[in-house]
Parts: sequence; structure tokens; C-alpha cells
Amino acid sequence: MTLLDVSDLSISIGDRTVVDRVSFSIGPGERLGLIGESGSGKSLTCFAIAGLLPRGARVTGSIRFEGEELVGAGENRRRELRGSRIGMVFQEPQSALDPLSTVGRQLVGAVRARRRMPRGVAHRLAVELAAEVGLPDPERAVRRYPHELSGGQRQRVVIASALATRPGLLLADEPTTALDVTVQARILDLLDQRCTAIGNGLLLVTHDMAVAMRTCDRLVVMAGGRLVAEGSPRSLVDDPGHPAAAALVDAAYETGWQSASRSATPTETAVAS
Amino acid sequence: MTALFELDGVGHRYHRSPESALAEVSLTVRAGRSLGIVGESGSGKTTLTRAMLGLLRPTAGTVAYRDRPVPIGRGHGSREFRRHVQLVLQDPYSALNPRMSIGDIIAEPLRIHSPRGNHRARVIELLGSVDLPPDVAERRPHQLSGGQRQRVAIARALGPRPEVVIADEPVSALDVSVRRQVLRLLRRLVEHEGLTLVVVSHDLGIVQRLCADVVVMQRGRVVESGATADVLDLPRDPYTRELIASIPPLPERKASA
Repeated sequence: MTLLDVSDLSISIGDRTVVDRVSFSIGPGERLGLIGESGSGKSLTCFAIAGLLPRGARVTGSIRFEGEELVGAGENRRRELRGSRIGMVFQEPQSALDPLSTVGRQLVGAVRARRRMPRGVAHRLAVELAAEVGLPDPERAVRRYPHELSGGQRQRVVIASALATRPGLLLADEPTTALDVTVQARILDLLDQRCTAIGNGLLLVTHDMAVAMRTCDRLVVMAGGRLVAEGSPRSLVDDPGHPAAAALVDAAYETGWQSASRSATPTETAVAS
Repeated sequence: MTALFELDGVGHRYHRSPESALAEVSLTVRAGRSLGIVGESGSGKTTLTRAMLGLLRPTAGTVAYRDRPVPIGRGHGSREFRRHVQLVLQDPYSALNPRMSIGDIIAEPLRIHSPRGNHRARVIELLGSVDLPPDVAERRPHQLSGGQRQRVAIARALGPRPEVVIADEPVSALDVSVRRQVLRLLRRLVEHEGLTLVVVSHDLGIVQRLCADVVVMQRGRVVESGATADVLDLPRDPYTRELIASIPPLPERKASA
């Protein structure tokens, strides 16, 4: 059985169709990259799966998660799923964390909401979760507040809490976009490692083709609300198919890092005087 | 080769800050050799840019432009320097006055230097140089896309025929297709119109394509500098190596591409 099956998903806001008959699926443990430029509809598609679309957005089509239809499901059921079977990581770790609550309390919060446990057990669980995401000195880290951590450490806390319930699916929307490149590399390594350990599926939404290709088994490309291409990183690079996907691939190669840099660097230019 | 900027032992410590934002930075920007200043947050690259523009007085060392100290502030004495050195910022939206027409925005620096002239023809010429049609002059910033706004910001900077344009993350806020357009434009200006760029960026791909020289900064210091091809192909400093190793690579493309 597929983990997530999105079929003919359309989203309209007012009289605008912002996502237009999009279909894709994610198998258990599979990592799917959803890429596109701003306004392509990629984030709204992710929000629709999370059940977090703005009020007034109309959704048609089907989102089946672990066999259950989510389009039309009640708000209570959606919230229940978000706290258990569907984890979420967004661009700004700051906004996902409660500034008035310690890291430890937030880490066990998700688990404890579903399963009552004594304080000592909760504390040990928090330290364990903090250690799993590589927070330095986890015993001390769980007593800290979000503002006492760096951006990368905060995103580690968000990842730990999103995966604390061992969800079947992790939704990650631009999880490293706000981070420095060296921190991004460490967070992507952490995501790889935790997703492998837990065996969850991953939907990685990003504008950054290199990040998606590095992380995912398969990519889907959105442009103008439509899904325009789908395939492995290799096949997309070799044969993007749709012109919009080809343009995206070309632009990524023309602007991105080239490891053989000598050919690209301009030599000395005409001297301005 | 003419040295434009010459920085010698520049250091800066912000008021009440325990640590130096900048320490012992020495570098030279030569005419016709664009320089990339690469670093992550907290590297001091923004402080360094402000020192080069005369927007702060460094607490140590000297910043000279064409052998004269860079004037601090925006007073009369700085007018000539400001004509020669222009700035382009990351977010073109916040840099463009929303109530002014694009034509007026581009003409503004021209008026400062020659208040009486009719700048209409020059504005159209500048729009053309960044591949925008003349009728854009009548529009306002909110009517343009992000890429068009960044091109307007570049046109405005080019107006006074500067020797150097300092560009702070010039394409970071742009979608990849627009990023490509702006990058092509900057590259053309550098390669064919003799513009010397100082690109401040965390993005090595951008620096690789625009800059002949590079300095890599970490915690306020220059950890490595040299010709871009040398530094990026054979980085010697451990931090430069980490920076390069952190970039997710795109798959090797077939030769036909």
C-alpha cells in the first residue's frame, strides 16, 4: 500500500485555481522532492496534505494517507494526525517553537499529549530525543529556551519533535532555506539519518534543486500550479520532458555551484579607467 | 593595474560588543578584477561592506579609494566617492521608494550629481542596458516582478557611471530562473562594459561566475584569498574546504548539455 496518494488535487482561493489536478504518491520510507519556483503551488500542496490551508481555500480531489481519505476530514482528525502520524518541519524553526517553553518540554509535549507518563520518564525521553538529533550536551540542552539556541540547533529541536511520535510521513517545507550553507549540510545529514532510523516517508518541498536531488529518491516538479515532470534526479537532469522543467534544470546548472570551476570563472576583464 | 579599494589592517568592534566584528582585514580591489567576499552569518562581510562604503568608521586600520581615505557619512565631501562607488542590495523591494515612478528612481542619483539636466534619455538607455523596455519608466515598484525590480536597482546604480558596484547578495532573494537573468546581466556588465563588481555573498556559485578574485571570511577575519579559480579548486584553509564540501552538488551533466 502506498503511504500517501494524492490524486487530482486542486486548490482554489477566491476564483483562482492555484493548484490544478496534481497527482503523485509516496511509498513507505520513500523520499520525494517537490520542487518549483515561488507561486508554483508547491507549498500549498504541502499545506493541503498537512490540513493547514488558509480558510476559504477550496480543495477537490483526493489525499489518501495510510488508506484514509483526508479531503473533507474534520479539523479534529487532521489535528490528531499532525500530532501523531504526520510530522512537520518548516523554514523558520523560530515560529514552530514555543518561546516560553524549554526544549525538553517541547520535545516530550508531542508524545505526552497522547501517552501520559511520569516526569522522570518524560525527562529521560527528552534527553534521548535531544541526543538523537545531535544537540550538544543533551542533559543541559533540554533545560534551555529556544532563544538560547542557534538557528541550526533550533531546527534540530523541530526535527526531533516532528519525529518524536515516529510518524509515517514527514512534511518538510524549505527546512534549510534560512540556514547557512555549512549548517544546511549538517541538517540535511541529520534528516537523512533520522528518516533512515525511523523509516518514515519524506515530502521535501524546496526551491533548491540541488538540495532535493541530494536528499530524495524521486522528484516532482511543479510550475504554475501543475505538476510538469516526475522522475529520479538522474532522469530529470537527462530528460526533463516539459519545457518548464527543462528551464528550471538549465537555470539550476547555470547559477549553481560547479565543482570544476576553472571553466566558469571570468578572467580579467577590460580595465575601467 | 589600478588599485581602487585598498584596505589595510581594518578592524571594527561595535559599541559594547565583547568581540570584534572585523579583525585585521587587508585586501585590494583592482580595476577590472571583480572581487567576491564570501562568508556565512557572523563572518563580518556586512560590516566590511559598510566600512568600504564609508557607512561606518572602522575602529582600526585604513580604507582608501584611489589612494584617498574613504569619506565617512553622506556629506558633501563624499559626493565624488559616491558617484564612483554604487550599491545594490539583496531585496530590491525595500531599496526602491514605492511612491516614485521607476523613471524617477533611476534618475534620482543622476539629479544629485547634475540637478538641472534632462535625464529622460539616459533613463531609457539605462533601462535598455538591463533589458527592460522604456515604458517601465512610467510604472511603480509594486507593478514589477522581483527580477525586474532587481534590474531596476542595477540600472539605478549604473546611472552615474560608477567604477565599482558593491552588490550585497544580489540574487539571493530571486527564483532560479530570474537569478539566471540577473546573473547574465551582471556578467555582461563585468565582461564587456568594464564594470568592477564587489559581490558580497554566501553563495559560491555566484562568486564563481562573476568574480576573478575572492576572499573567504570567517568570524571577522579573512581566512583565505586569491584568484577565484585557485581558491575554489584548491582550497587550503579548512573553513574554505568545509564551505565547499557543504554545497549539495548537482549530478554530473552529460557532455551534450
